[in-house]
Amino acid sequence: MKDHQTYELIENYLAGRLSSDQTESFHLMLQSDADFAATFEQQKMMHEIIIDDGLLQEKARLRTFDFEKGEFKPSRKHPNYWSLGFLTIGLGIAIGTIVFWPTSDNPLPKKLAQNERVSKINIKPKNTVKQQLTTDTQIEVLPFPSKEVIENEQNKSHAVVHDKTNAPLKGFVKPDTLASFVETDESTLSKRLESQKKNETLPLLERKEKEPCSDIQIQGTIQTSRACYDELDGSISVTNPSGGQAPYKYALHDGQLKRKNHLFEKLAEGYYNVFVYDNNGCSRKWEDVFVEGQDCSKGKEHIFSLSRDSEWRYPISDDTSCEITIRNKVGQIISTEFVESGFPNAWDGRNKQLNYVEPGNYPVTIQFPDDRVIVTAVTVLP
Amino acid sequence: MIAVDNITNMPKDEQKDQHIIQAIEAGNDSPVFEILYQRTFGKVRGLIFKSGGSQEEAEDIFQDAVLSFYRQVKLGRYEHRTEIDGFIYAVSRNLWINRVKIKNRSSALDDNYEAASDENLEQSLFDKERQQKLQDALNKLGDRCRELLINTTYKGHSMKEIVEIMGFKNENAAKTRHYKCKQRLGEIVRKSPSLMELYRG
Repeated sequence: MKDHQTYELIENYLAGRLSSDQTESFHLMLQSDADFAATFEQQKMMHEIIIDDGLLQEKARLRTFDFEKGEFKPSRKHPNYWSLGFLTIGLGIAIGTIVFWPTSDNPLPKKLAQNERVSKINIKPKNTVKQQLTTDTQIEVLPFPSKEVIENEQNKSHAVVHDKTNAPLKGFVKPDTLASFVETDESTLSKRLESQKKNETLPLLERKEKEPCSDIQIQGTIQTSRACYDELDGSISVTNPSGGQAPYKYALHDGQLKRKNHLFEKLAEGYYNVFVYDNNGCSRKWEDVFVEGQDCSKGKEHIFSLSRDSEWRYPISDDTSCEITIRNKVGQIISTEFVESGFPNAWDGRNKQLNYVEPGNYPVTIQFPDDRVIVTAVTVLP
Repeated sequence: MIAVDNITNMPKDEQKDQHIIQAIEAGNDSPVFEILYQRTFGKVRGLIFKSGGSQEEAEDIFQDAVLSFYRQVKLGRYEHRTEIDGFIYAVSRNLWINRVKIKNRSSALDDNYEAASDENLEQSLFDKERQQKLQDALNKLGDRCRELLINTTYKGHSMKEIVEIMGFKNENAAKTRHYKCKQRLGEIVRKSPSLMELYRG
């Protein structure tokens, strides 16, 4: 079992996410595998430490409990006048909306049409036809329901109106308003569909049909190679795809362009989702494929060239806090950098006076908060 | 997660205990303290007043006892057959006895209030030395890592929720950072013998 698989198995056990069978197997492994048991003990210790850290935070919160009143004291932050201002404006708008809202039978579409802020309207009753317009206004009606259908589905239907920043303007619409709104837009959409036949730049119709891939199970072998910490040198490879119709295509993220090459390179340590598509568009997804990281800093030459405007990436992992000191040949400090949570993460080859240093070797000291010190060197090429 | 109303509106019986435990396990501690306060604080205060303690001491002891209870639940060590009120009272009593002993006021206590040594109660959980060692180690972890680990392990948030709460690009990014933070915590713990000693027991 790989390191990260062991790690995840133990995580799931500690979080109580294993089934009773899995838990039983887990206990057997603890008894029979000393290395696994040692890893478990360490991970359990960390689990306990994090719980205690959370409890200390909770303890701080409990300090705000008013024992006389039996409730938590309200926050004593100073009043936020900006928020009060926005609240007042918002209240004014709300009152204005109520006072001036027209009483016609079908107010919403007209108001929406007049409102310049509205750029997108989504109406989502139950099913299946997606209508997307390429103009500023986007409408989804799935499908065009009759009045009866809408009345039956009143509780399941809602409309969301978005402004141009794609933020929803407001939530639910009364079912009767929705019904008339849908009718109106059905006719509008029909016109647009007609115009589509004449002008291909107008609406795009996408009809979802019965999924043909339900009986197809794509298989394959996923292999990974490790990445050095903070380097893009890991890889994922999918081999021996089967179960669908060749040729197969591959992608590393949902929505990523499919490609013929089954090998994904230049990957950092981390979790990825791997997608394999067959010739019919059926797909298989492998979730949480993990590219393990490793420490490659030992024995690695630290070299960079000023002439290519490059930087020397510090040999530390993300989130590290430390102090990095670079000296010249006679031991004088030419650069001191305090790295906080991984930033800054590189040296651009300039000294305290912001002048580029001469080519040559420069001793580097990396000191961590726990007094650990790494001594290395960087070579600046001409 | 268990909603506040689900707990507060329930009758005071064993079923309610079950819901309290479920709420703590799910990371929803917020409403629980108020309920436990209503149920148990009066008894704890009575105990402490009886042996010369103050309101402030009663509040402090009660808070630590509740947190000890949370800890037992979150680590899966709480025995469900124990009634919560009784557990908190017993922990409070032991915490109080220890505190009084430290203050050399043991004579003020009745013999009946001897601390029960056979009970698995974690009285040193919040002593200053332990807190300091914990803080020293976790300060090296960085605030973001610390927040991430608490959100997942203590508060029980899913990676999907973490993406929302902490602004990660996606779930994979959150998982990767979580894994790295755990690795880093492992390194910190390995290099801190005093902390390991504290948790090995």
